[in-house]
Amino acid sequence: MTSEVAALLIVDDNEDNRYTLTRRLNREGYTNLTTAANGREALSRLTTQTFDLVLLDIMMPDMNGYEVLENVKANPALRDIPIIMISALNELDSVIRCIELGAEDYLTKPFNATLLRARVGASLDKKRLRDEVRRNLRRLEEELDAARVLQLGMLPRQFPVWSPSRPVAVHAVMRPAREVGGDLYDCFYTGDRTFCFLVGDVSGKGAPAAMFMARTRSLVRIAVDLWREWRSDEIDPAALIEMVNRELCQNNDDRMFITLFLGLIDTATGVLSFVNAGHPAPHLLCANGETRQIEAKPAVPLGIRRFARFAGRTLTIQPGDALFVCSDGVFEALNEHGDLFSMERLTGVLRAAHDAGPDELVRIVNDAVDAFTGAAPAADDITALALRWQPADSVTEHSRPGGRCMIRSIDIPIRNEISQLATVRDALDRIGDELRIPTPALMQLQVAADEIVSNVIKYAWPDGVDAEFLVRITIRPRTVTLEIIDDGAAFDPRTAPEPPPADQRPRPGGIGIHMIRKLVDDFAYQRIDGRNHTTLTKNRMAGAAQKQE
Amino acid sequence: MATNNVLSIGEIREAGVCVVTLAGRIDSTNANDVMNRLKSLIAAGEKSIVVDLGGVIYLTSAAFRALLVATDEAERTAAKFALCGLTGHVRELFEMGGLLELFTIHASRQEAVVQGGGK
Repeated sequence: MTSEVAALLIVDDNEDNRYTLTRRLNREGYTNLTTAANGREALSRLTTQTFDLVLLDIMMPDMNGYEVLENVKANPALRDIPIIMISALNELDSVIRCIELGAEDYLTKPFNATLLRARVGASLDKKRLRDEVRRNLRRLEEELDAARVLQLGMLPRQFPVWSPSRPVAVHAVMRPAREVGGDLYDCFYTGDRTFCFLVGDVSGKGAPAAMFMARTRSLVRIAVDLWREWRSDEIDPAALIEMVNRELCQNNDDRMFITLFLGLIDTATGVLSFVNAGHPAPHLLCANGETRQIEAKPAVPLGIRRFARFAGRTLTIQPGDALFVCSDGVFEALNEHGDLFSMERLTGVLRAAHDAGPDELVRIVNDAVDAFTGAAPAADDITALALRWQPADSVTEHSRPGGRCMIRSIDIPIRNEISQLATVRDALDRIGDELRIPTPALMQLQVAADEIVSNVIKYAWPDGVDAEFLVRITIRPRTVTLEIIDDGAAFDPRTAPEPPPADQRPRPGGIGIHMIRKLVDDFAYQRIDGRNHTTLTKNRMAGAAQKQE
Repeated sequence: MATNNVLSIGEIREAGVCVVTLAGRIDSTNANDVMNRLKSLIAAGEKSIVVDLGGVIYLTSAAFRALLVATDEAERTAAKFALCGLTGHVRELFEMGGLLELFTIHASRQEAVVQGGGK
């Protein structure tokens, strides 16, 4: 704010005083000057124009300087404008009262040129500094808000939908104690039958923790991707974590560290291979109600020892079992009396809710923590992730003694030519003959297959290139699943609009997709690693028109 | 279910009504044949058309599209256009697609011909 642009308001009922002040301030280089002859005029000027400083006479008829001052200080939009009171030499008591009311400084009449220059200059300097502090604070707040959005955006909030080929239902929530947090979770499929999940907790809170968290999340994702790309063996979580740890130890002069639980579930067998770097052991919620923490003695957290070795462990979970992983913010949450939520309480809550869905489970735990802490402010970030492994046939199979079911898959490569439709239909004919699938069920599955396969052939490659995709037919004791895997344009067929009303010509795709919903028992879609996975599952025993709504 | 991809389209005239008989499978590989045949009949000035689906053993939404397009064309030329012979699975498929209301459907070919392809 230079003297040329600083906007000053001079309020004095005496025309001579206004004239004198205007002339002297002009001489000091202040040219943006406005005058008011009384308090009311001053207030109306203040509400219609922006000022950087007000010179305010105390003794005025009608509305005096005190009243103007009180009005200004009571108005949030005006209260930060500095006010210099103008008084006669014998009015010191009044000046003190004004300073108490919030005036910045005072000047006595007759005006002394040096004091006028010094006090106006100092007041404007202070105002400029205050404005700058406020601007910086606002900028910081905006940056933190943006960081919060960015950080939460890094954690998946769209969770993989359960389907026969993706048989893990999962949900997670991270609640930072401050704008940004140091907790992290992630969950994704890698390869055909591996589900990867992790929960981590960085030492400390706020921006540094958030950056370390972001670094860890990306390193794990990249390590998993590179492993898949360059190695043919199954991912070894311990070796993977050792790579991530070495990288996190680089340039880590602040000695930040992160505790992390990383698990990989083989979705075909239920074998969980995991590594625990200093993190609280997850809970296993068995389908039969038994609820306990798994044996997962913590090793050293990541970021501490560059050449730390980590031991991988395995545990076989049963169909219908759930796992719950959280950060210590859950069981170390404190109430107003300083009591811990505690691991015992957490186990109790989980046991009571052992058969709830993952999203329900996470909500129940968060609600229990909130009810416990009451009005006490959150001291730590709180993260909870729940998942349940529910293979497609587990509903019947795991309750049958010794019942390991025969599951087999047939892969059919298909070119994007409409003549290829018959290939899928013929394959389904053979399967139908062999398994004695009732004709209505088989035909409904064939029609649904025709609809989805012709949809992919016609629309997945809009530029008309030659392409090939895969139709995988998986036979289970009670169901037949068709999975169409293509690397064409991302498209969730379930989002196709309903067919138009009778008086309009139908759009392509509309009726067909609408029919698929009616023809099969499960219709799922996922975009994984740049491919569309569309799955249609049909109950093998469905009789004529036996489709349940 | 036999693998029979052959679609046959027949055409006979009964009491001044053009009856198109469809038999076999109709899907996206051959639905255009059905559509083109119906369109050319309408374009040639045919005013009463009945499509008999009695011989159809399998159809997909591609067939529905063909029939819907033909219905629109017929409306444009004020021709009567109706379906008959919807039985078993085929009728179910029409139901699943929510399409029964979109067409004029007669219980039998006889009734359809008496009505001249209209309501």
